Amino acid sequence: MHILGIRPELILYFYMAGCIAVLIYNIGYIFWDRRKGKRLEKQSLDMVDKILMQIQKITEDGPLTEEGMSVLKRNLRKLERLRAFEYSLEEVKGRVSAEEYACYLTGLRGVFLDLAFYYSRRDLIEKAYFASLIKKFGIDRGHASYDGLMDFLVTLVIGPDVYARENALGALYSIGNQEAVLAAWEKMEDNGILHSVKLLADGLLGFCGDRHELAKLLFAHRAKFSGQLNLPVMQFIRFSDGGFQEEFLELLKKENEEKELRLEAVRYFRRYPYEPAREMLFNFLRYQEYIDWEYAAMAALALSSYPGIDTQECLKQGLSASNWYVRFNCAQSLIYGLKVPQLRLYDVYNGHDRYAREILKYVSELQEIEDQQIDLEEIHV
Amino acid sequence: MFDFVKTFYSVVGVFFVLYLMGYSTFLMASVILGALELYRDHKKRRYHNEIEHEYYVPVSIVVPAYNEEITVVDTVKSLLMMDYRLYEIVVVDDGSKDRTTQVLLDAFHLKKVSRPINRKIRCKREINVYEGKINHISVTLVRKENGGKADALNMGINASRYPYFICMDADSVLQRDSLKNIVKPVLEDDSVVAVGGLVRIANCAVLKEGELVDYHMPWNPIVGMQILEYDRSFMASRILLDKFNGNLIISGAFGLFQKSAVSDVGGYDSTTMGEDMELVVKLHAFCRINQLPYSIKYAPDAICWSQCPSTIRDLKKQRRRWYLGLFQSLKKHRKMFFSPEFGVVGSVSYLYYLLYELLSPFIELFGIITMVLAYVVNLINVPFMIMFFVIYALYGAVLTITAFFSRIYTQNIKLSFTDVVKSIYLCLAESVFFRFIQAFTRMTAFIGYQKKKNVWGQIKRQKMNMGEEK
Repeated sequence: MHILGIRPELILYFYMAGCIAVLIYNIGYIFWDRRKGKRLEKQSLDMVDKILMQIQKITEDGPLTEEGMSVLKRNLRKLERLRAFEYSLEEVKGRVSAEEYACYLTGLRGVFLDLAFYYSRRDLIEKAYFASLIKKFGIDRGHASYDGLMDFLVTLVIGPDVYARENALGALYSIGNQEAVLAAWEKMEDNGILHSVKLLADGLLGFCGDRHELAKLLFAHRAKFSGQLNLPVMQFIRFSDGGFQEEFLELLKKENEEKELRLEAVRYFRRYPYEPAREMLFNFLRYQEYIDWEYAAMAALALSSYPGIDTQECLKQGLSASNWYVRFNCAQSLIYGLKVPQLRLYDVYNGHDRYAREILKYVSELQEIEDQQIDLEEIHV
Repeated sequence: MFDFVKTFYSVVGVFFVLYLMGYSTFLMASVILGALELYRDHKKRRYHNEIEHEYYVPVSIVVPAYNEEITVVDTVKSLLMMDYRLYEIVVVDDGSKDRTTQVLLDAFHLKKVSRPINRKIRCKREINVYEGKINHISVTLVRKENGGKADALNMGINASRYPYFICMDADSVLQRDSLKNIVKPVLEDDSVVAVGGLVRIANCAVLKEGELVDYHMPWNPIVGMQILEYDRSFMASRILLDKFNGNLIISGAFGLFQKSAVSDVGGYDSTTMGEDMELVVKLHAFCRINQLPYSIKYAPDAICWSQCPSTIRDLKKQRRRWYLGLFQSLKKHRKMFFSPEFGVVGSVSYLYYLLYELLSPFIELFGIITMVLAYVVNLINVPFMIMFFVIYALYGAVLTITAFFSRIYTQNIKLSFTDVVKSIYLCLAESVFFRFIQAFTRMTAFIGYQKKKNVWGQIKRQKMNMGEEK
């Protein structure tokens, strides 16, 4: 049957053939994958012996010769060999001393420098894999100057793939070179790369060099970066360094600064109390009706680190806020943070504000629940 | 007169060929793209192309429950074993008539608290709030006045603490690693407002502590056909639509949402029967109208095991609800259709759901009537028609089995020889019979629509197979 010059059944046959091809591919892949798994296992076992011999040779005669290295360089250009090498190194780690293992890994730097050239021309999945190995084995760790490996990693950072970028950043943090991390940040800014703030902040915490110096360097260059790149730096500082109080207070005072950055500064002052910040935190709570509620909610939590009668009074006032989170955080700071006894909260419990009473009562009940928490094993269903 | 009839049949013929070709092409493209995408994901996992991150985003799991005394305790217990760092569980008992609240209180020793609910989204009043802490995980139970599933979900959102929430059904079990996997798209892209997980049918699976320990194709053909249908739908079309941010559905059985975005659109709509689809369409509309950068993703490795109806009666009830939900959402957001503001969502996605989901029963009915009439006036080539139907059914079966096997190998599920034979037979059966059950249910869906549009769709519950010794 012909309609519009098309024979519909032929199209269906064609589509069916396409599906059958995918089906055959799937089934073929299952068998090929099984075979590959066995081959990988055999290759890994072979490599373990070779690596152990190399380690012994290094212990006895010093670093590997160029000849020994070149065999490895050639072999590891193949992706599956590199994978087998990864597994063998994991096995070897358990069989030799930590010093011998570290010494062997140091010797691998030259091999990886050479391989970076080859892997930089592969597809993104392979590039990302190579970067993950640099991180995993701490290749180039502590290397002060900028080298080919760092160049490879920084190029990956500005690529389109989030996994490749994350692996590359992880490798840069593992190397512990501050300048290389700054270079990556600058490249991301220049190329408008948007990477998750959370991943960036948590990634920085894995930096293997001097964290304080890195924090100083990135914060000093903050004028160059957008909020998207400054926020993770500030979060990193909050989790690792108490020496930025003055700078953060400066930032907090600037009303035209990005909201997220100022909120981050408030969080910082909860973790690292700073007397000059106290008044500012009070004001966020006192004038909460005129500003975004997030400032008041954050300030209420931060005030738990600033004990004093004035803080208690300010928090009690905050219990009457119209925003639920502000009220809840004030109650938490009073009961959990400052551990204000019930007697001191008498005026609130007997006051006219029902919302303030309710939230205080609820937070004190939460304390009881916290004290009576149970293990899953205790539950018999 | 006869010329007019001939012309009419020519036009009808052209329409049906184009209609079927459009559908076949969409399915073909979906299955092939889905298979390639799953292969690529498999390769990525093998070569450490994934985000292995310890400090995950805090998540609230909202479990709406209505008369769920049989399954709810197992569900909460399995949720307490998730491989995830920071989350809470919020169960909302929507005024159940059975012992849903009592079984939860007995099992988890929850304490009554005087919690004031932060009511950002409208919902019916709470009756009591209970809380407890188990394994450092906060468990909240809100017992409220009956208001329907959407209303219960809205209460759950109001009672949740964290910036992202997961909605799930009380008769479902999340796989142990599912929270990690559903959160990954959020870590990859800050503009993600919702992520859909993969729903698989639990009737044929044995799960122990949130991990799959045994999987067999069932003997019940109703269940078996749904397994294949789910695999085709979740593997294929959702992956294809995901490629251009065009998914209009995130299953109510398992989805992750950004709380602030959901609050901005007013939460779940308790006046529709398909609250899950309605929410996603609303998010698309809100973000597009306000020109906000957003994406709605699908995470095929975030798995939720859910019970499916095992009788035709229950199946018809469920499909009727889905179909009416689809009708209500498409009707409500009809302005999206081919509006330049909505881009591909308003054209490709809307058109697909309109033509091949909403209107399909009527188009099929029209097809049957014209065929009968054509036979009467001797204008049909009967052998060709039969051959065409056979080819089409065969094509449907091949397509389904391709999707099924793609899923099996990428998730390392082992199947016995009997399972393989069963699945081939079920693929054929699904292609021939299931389609008709579906079409009939859809055609009759509007009967009693006004009367039943806001009631919980209940199907017969059974205890989940959690691998316990018998």
